[in-house]
Parts: sequence; structure tokens; C-alpha cells
Amino acid sequence: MYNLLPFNRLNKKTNSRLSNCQLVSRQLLCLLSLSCISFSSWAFSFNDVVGKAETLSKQGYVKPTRNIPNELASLQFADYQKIHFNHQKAYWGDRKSLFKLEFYHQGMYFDSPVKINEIVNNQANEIKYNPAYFDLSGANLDKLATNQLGFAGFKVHYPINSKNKTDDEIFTALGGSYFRVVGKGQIYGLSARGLAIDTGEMSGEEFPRFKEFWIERPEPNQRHLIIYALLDSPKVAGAYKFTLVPSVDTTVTVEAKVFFREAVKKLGVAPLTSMFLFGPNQPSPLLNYRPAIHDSNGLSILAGNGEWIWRPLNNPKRLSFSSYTLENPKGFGLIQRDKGFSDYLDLDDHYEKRPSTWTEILGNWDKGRVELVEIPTADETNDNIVTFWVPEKQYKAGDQLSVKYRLHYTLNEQERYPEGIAKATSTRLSLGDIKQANLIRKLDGSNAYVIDFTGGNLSPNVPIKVISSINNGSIVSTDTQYNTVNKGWRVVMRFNVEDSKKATDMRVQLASEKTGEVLTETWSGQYPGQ
Amino acid sequence: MKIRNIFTLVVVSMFIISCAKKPVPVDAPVEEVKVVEVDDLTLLKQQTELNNPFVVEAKNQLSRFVGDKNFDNYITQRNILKCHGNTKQSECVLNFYLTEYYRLKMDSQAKKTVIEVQEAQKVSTKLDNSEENTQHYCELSTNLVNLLYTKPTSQSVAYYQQQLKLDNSQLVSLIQEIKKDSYSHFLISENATVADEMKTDYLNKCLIEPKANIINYTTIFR
Repeated sequence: MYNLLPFNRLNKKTNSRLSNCQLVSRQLLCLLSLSCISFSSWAFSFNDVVGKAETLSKQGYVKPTRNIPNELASLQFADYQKIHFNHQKAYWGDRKSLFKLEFYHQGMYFDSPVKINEIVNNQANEIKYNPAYFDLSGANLDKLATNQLGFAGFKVHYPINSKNKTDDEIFTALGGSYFRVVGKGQIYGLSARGLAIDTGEMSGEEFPRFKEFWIERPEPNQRHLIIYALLDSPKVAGAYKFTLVPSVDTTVTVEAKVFFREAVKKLGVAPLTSMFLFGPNQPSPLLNYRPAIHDSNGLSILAGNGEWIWRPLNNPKRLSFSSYTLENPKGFGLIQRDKGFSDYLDLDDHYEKRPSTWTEILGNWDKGRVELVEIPTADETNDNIVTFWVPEKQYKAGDQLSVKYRLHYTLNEQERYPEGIAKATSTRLSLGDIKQANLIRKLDGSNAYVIDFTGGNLSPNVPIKVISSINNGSIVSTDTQYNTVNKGWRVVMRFNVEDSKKATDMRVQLASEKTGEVLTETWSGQYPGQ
Repeated sequence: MKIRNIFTLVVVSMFIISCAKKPVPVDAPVEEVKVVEVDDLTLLKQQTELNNPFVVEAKNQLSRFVGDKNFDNYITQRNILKCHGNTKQSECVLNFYLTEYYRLKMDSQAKKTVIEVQEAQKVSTKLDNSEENTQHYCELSTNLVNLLYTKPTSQSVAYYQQQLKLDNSQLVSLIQEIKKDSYSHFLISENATVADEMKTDYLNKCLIEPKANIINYTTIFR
């Protein structure tokens, strides 16, 4: 594997032979390279995409034109899904590559083509649309003339789960600047985007779109894939480079350079989009055997000062914005925190296999805020959760922005935490009650959050105290009890709300009673306006 | 040989003979006859070996053991010259050669026995390749390799070095080999879980082919 050799197989003779061969090969390569240079000295790189983005930003925005016939435009989602890619025609399927590409057909609102190029020997060549790639018979459209169409997007296949199964998807890019990624044993859940513009603003959100891709053809046995993308939007144009490394977790390192045509009121960098319908912190209003339905159930933040913050998600009755003002944050993400199948009990959708996505910030992002947008939804088909970084700086026409970050798609989200920090592993909403002298619990008109903190240095031998705060209300009590089952501490916080139409924000931390040292992440909950 | 060549040969031979037999002039100076001193060892050898094949054979036997190059130095250091002037010189020298020969032979035999015993001890401390042992040492090898890829300066490296009976030069060699794998290091820097995947793959491969993948296999296993 890779280049591993156990010591007792090290053979000096072999190595010296190899060294000689390598030396010869290197010399030959130099000769070949020189000859190549004499024919063409230009090699495609990220800088080329940056150049294209900059040029594009200086031109007026041209809206993509719709080129699909009505038969395709009018498809419903279930019918669109019946258009299949012919797997035998997978791109690179005839090559010794761990990666393969397949493409999406245009249809529904995917009504403008995206150009997809392959980079081979540092030269970019378009991958031309060919109707033979697709089988439209399932949608009863096999007689439709489609020669003038293009691709709507693409997906990447890789043997992520088994060396013998080469058609598992790991990356998909379809529509706008959306892309989804999975690691080993995962199924698609939340999405990432290239950029969010004016999300939740009165002017309406603008959705930038990846209009062109370049994908570097991988070497045999190469285990990473490089994808470039050109982003276009009325207010911005941008160049993106994605370094995709599939493994137990899959990571995507994103490098972006954005050029501004016009001022942007609210710029959302590294946006993540997910779904939260209900969970123990906000139970379903309708009787449902499932304890929870969500692709994510919390926003996690690592602030620049080392504070970990956990914000359980809500499905509010009204559009809701929450902000965390930070300086030089280390990361943030939409997390699926659970104990496995028993938290969902859904044999079709397997929410326990949907990954958490953690955005590791590379570099200094200065001042700004992590914004969380929660949108009311009646069902799980809508992505109603969005989060992104909003720089404090306001960008105007002619400005440029460079960012770099790494997305981690994982089922082991708690491994992000350093030792010594306990996590809020469960949040449950309840009506507040008190136990009477006759042992019968009586509701006292309050609400309660029951928060279990586990891990870190929590111990029954280390007495703890609760540090808590609330706005738009008052805390009735914060009772703590050592949880002998999960070896953590339980906090039951009873609270009253002042104005029930408004959201009520609360914070809870546990600290050592003796030393005052904070032992847990900050639980930052919001009781939605009713 | 042709007649012409024979003629040349005869002429040349006659010329040489005539040169050799040139009379010495009466007034030429008389050359001094130098007396060459023979050292005691050479004299002793000559005196004792003359018409005595037993001494010669004993000398040759010892010489084969010691080596011709160092023979004279050796026998001088071992004090063969104590036989010089002895009334039974030949007997003394014969006795000397035989005593030295058997002494050296016994020493050599003893050393050989010690080595054999040491080797036998090493073999007896080596493990058999039972399933349990294979699993254990595959895990150790996997953990060490993983550590060298992810935390090469970790103090735990010393533990695995000791468990796998690696000396310092062997460990350095392994570290250098792993350092050369720049592609794996790139992947791990992008995605730390690649190291977990490598670890699993290495262990599986080791269990299938332990001889090829357990570090220092031949030192650890019989």
C-alpha cells in the first residue's frame, strides 16, 4: 500500500537497482519534459480559472439561457429520476483509475447546461455531451431530440466502501453552486455551496451558479481528485479549486477567489444547507414513531478563543436568524449528533448514516459572524437550515476575496473535540415540573431543557456548578444530577418566557465548583417564538 | 627450430660463455667474502627439521592453523627459542609444535561450542508463528508504521521499537523509508482519516502475509 515496506524486506541490492532505474527514469523524464516544453509550455492550473473569473467579473452578467424543450422542463422530480446514465459509459471507466465520472441530464429546473472539461497532460479538453450517455426511456422521452443539450452536472464514483464496488458515489454537483459529499459508510445528507448572497435579505437571495468545471484526470491508483469550477452570479464571479480526498471521512479542501461586480449586502462564505424537521429538543407536533427526522441537529462552532459552542437546531414557526459574532474563528459546522439507528428508527432514510460536515477554517478570517438561518418547513423534503460565515467587511464592486477551508464529512463528529471538553450530547424539551411531597410530579407552568453533558473530565467526584443566562425570560432553576448511565452530568433548566412571540436564547456551561474551570462546551439553545 | 635460429642460438651462447670465462686481470682487487649471520630461529628450524619428517609435519600442521604470514612471529612470541641449545632440541621443538596446535584447536572448539549454544538460545527465545503471535505482531507492526506516518516523534515509538526488537539503525532505516512516501503524507495532511484507512489495510495485509509484513519477522519468529 502506498510505499510501505516492513524492515525485513528492505533489500539494499534491490534499492540500489531501483535507485539506478529511478535515476535513469528521471533522466528520461527530463528529456521527455524538455521535448514537451518545446511544443507547449502552458499547463492548466487554478490561476487559469482565476483569470477567467476576473475577466468575467469585469463583464456584465449574462443570465444563462434555457435550452431544454418543454418535455424536459415540465418533468416532476420522480420522473426526472427515471432518466438514467448508462453506467457502462462511465467516464474513465475504461481506464485504470479509482475514480469514475457520470453526468446528469438536463431537465426540470436544470434548464441551462454546464460545461465540463477534462484536464489531461495539463491541457483542458471539453467532455462533449452525447445522448448515448443517457437512457431516457424510463421517463418516456427516448424519442426526444437531445443533441443540442448539455450536462446539468456530474457525479464522482469511487470504491469508498469496498475495493470491489467501484460505482459508489462520493461527490455530486448539480444545480447552482451546490455539491454533496460522502465518506465511508455514509449516505447523502446536507449540502455545501460555493457562496451564499443576501440570504434572508428583503431584496431576495441571489443564487450563484457553477457554470463550468475542469476535472484533472487522475493517475492510476491516485487517491485524490482535483476539480476546478467557475462561479457566476449577477453580483460576483469566482474561481474555485476542490481537492477531494475520499476515505473513512471524506475531505474537500476548498480554495476560492471571488471578484465582485457589485456590492453585496450579506456575503455568506462556506455555506452549508441542511434539514431539521423535529427531534427530542423540539418533538414532532404529530404522532410519529420516529424520535427524530433531520440531516443535522446542531450548529457547532469553535471560536478563535478556543470556546466550543453547541446550538441545537429548531424548525421554527417563523423565519429565524441567529448570529455568533467572532474573531478569527477556527471552524463551524452542521452536525448530526446521535447514538445511531435508535435515534431515528427509519429503515428507508437511515438518518444515522447522514454525515456531519465540519468546516475547518484555513487561515485568518478576521472579524465577522457565523449566521444560522432556520426556515419553517412542514416536511423533510425542504432544506430549511442554512449556515455560513459573514465577514464584517462589506464587499463592493471591484473588491476581491480569497478564502480557503476544508470540509470534513464524518460520522465521528465528537472526535473533533480535544480531551478535557465535555459535550452537550443530548438536548430534550419538556414541560417544567416539580416533584411534590406525595412524589407526584406537578407541572409548574415553566418549560425545561434537559441537557446531558458527557465526556471530558466530568466525574462524580468533581462537584460542578452551572453558569447560565437567558434573554426574553427568566431561569426558574438549574438542577444538576450525575448521570450514572452515561457517566456525565445532567442539567435540568426550567425557564419562563417573557414574550412568547419572540425567540428566547439561553446559555449553559458547567464549571468546576472548586476551581471555576469551565469543563464543557457552551450549550447555546433557542426556544423558538410560539 | 630452423637451422638459421639454431645457428644464432649457438653463436649467442658461445658469446655469453666467452664473456663469462674472461680471465681476471692480475692487478684486479680481491672481493671480500661476506659472512651471512643466520638468526637463532632459522638455525633452530634448520637443525630440527633436517632428516626429521615428524618435526616438519608438526610445523606444517601448526602453520595451517596460524597462517604462513604470521607463523614465525607467532612461534617466537610463544617462546620456541627456549628449545634452542636444548640437548634434545628436535624433541623440544616437536613437543612445542604439537602443544601449540592442540591448544589452539581446543580454543577454537570451545569458541564454536559457545556460538552454537548462543545460537540455540536465540532460537529457543524465538516465537512460533501461531495465530495469536501473528495477530499480536501484526498489530505491533501496524501500530508502529501508523505512528511513524502520523507522529514520528512520539515517545510511543520507543515502545514499539523494543517490542519488535529493532536496533537504532533498523529503526532509522524504517523511518527514512516512510519519509520517502510523500504521496501518503500529502493525503494524510489533507485528510487525517487516510491514516486510519492505511492502518486497517496494513493489518489485513499483514494477517494474510505475515512473513512479508511483520517488521523484523526473522528475528522474532522461528
